[in-house]
Amino acid sequence: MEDSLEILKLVSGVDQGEDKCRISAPKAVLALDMLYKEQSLPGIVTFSEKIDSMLGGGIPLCKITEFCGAPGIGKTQMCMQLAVDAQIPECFGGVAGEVIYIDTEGSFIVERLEDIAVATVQHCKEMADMEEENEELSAFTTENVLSHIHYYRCQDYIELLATINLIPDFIKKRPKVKLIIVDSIAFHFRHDFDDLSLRTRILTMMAQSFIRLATEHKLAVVLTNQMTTRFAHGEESRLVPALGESWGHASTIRVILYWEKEQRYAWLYKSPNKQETTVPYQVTVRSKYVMYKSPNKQETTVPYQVTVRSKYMYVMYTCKSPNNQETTVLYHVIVMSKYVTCKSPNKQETTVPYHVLVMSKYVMYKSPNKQKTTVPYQVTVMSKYVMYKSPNKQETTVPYHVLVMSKFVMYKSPNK
Amino acid sequence: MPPTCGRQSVADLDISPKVLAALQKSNLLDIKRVLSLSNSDIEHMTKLSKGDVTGLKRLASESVLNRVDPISALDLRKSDNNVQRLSTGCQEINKLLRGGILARGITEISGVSASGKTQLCLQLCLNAQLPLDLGGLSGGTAYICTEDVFPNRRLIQMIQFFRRKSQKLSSKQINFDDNIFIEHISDLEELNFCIHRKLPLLLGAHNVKLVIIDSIAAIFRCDYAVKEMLQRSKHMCTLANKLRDIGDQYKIPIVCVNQVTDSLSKKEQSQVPALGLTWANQITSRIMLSKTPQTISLPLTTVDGLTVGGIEATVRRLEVVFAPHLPKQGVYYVVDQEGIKALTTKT
Repeated sequence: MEDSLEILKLVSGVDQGEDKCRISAPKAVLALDMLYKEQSLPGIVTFSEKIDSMLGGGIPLCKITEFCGAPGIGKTQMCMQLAVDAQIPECFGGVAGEVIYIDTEGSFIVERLEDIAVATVQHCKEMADMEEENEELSAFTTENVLSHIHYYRCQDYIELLATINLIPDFIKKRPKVKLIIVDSIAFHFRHDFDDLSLRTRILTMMAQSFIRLATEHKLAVVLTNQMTTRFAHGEESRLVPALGESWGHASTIRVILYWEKEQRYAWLYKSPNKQETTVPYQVTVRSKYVMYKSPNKQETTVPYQVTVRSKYMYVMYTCKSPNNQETTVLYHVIVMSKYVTCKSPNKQETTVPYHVLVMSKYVMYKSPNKQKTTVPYQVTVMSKYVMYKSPNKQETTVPYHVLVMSKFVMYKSPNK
Repeated sequence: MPPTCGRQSVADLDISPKVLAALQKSNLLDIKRVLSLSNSDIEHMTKLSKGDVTGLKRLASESVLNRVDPISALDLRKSDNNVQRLSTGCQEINKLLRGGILARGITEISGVSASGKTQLCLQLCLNAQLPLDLGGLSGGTAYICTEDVFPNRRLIQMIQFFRRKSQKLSSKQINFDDNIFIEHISDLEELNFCIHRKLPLLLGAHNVKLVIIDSIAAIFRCDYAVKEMLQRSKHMCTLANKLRDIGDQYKIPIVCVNQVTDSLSKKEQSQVPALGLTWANQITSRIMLSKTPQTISLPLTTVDGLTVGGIEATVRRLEVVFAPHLPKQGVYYVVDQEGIKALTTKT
């Protein structure tokens, strides 16, 4: 793995050298070489196991990946998460690169990015606790993560075009850039464009620039796109990615994020090598850590995995008031991530961060009198089982306990 | 800094006379146009060499950007011009919003009628006048009313309480009723005129730090037939774009109030903010206010001769629907004489 990376670096170095000599015609390559090259390229993991496996090991380098979705679905969250994930050290299967973040919407809030960076760094540190001190890891700090995200703000499409023109120069100065994020590509192209053919031409030109950047510098390009409503004759209106049909060809991989009830879903809409799939995912306050991979440089197989799904749950309870009017009250159960210690057959005891799944409960409350009362109650979660997988052992179950603090819910009886 | 595309013509660029002549010949003098064309198109049109065109593009690109090199997130975090927040005047709500309303993009406050949208806006008007260290923006407000007349009486009532509260915190005397500029608008034409012409003048001449439009829905929900929906989206986008530009230029929060509409397709959420997806794509943060069937009686207290409480208040809910920096969560609140107050577990 490391060797192949070395080779790749050499190859890319040669490519850049050629570039300087202005040899415009690319060298012909065998399909087999390309396949080998593609397989040896690591992806940028999203830290959401299902999305990673849906995309075949994360966001691929040398390709354009587009995330589409309605406002509030988590496109910006995904971008920020990726901006941090692209910097994960190589010993954790990351690409240890730098990131260019182009913000057209003005939705880049550093505090949120810092949250994600802190959580990711902490997560990696926890994973590495059992390993000896690592140089790569000691450089992986929140400060470094933030300093390796290069932020451009584009107020209109001219600025966006100009920025894209200048990126190759910037990459020459910073050859470690592994990811370019544009959040969002659609924003400036959805208003003030009377001339649609001009729009199409500019979009095609931008797509070309991105493809060139992606292949020349072996980096991943992630774009976000808005959704728009399309009306078709005899059909219900439906949501489709914006910017029209021709833009659909620009990205290699297209993922549509959508809601269904309270669950968010990612739908792989277009991909060269994966079939259409839909996976559920969630945006949590801390971050999206679900998957755990043990870092092991010698072996190619993953020693074991712990997968625990997490969810936000709503709990409904019905309360009866003295005036006999039943009211239903919605409240949230906040689920915090906890740590569990589990024993693996071939490893030492390790600490794994994971999320707790809290089932919905019904709490009935009957007000005994008209006076205001405060009722404390407890949410208890039973002990659960975690499955883990190991290459040389059979699947085993490990019991563990979860402690949830008791919470207080206030209820005030409706006063006549 | 304002988005000034300072130089518009390629003649201002530092290019060789040969290149300039070729560009003049093919009538390619507008920098915007140069950037909108691909390298090969320009080569084709001007018969210039590849290197010349690449150089031209680079110079043109540099001339339209305020800063050529990106800023790292770390510098952004450390820098003073970090995104300002406007306090809502309620500790709990500020905590939920991580400081308050963002001075970036458009913040939408939507909700059913009488859910407290205007109350929240009035409270923002007052808080905006507080000094920076108290969560304010030490500036006035441009309040654009499209629905109803400005609730002057209610504002004066709130000012009484607010003055007492602010005097405790800061020695500075602020004339709270002097810094709110009110504009009544009845249709889109007037609104456009107000935003494109009057507002920049007002922002230039006075210390105005907050723009509120109450409400944006009223303008766009009438006046348009079903056939004119495309037109409506376009108008909405242009308006939102201008508002965002103003916000970016002066680094001030833009707050738009929106109404709600009954959702036709989704059963799980009966009421959604009006104006549809087009509008939702334009805004940065969305806050939803709603009413619950419950009421709560507030204890009666008297401070400095002013009575607070002693009323039966409906419990309402403030929820962050989406925002780039906030999780989806909410808080219950009531409205009393002083304004909006979140319900904590203690009250």
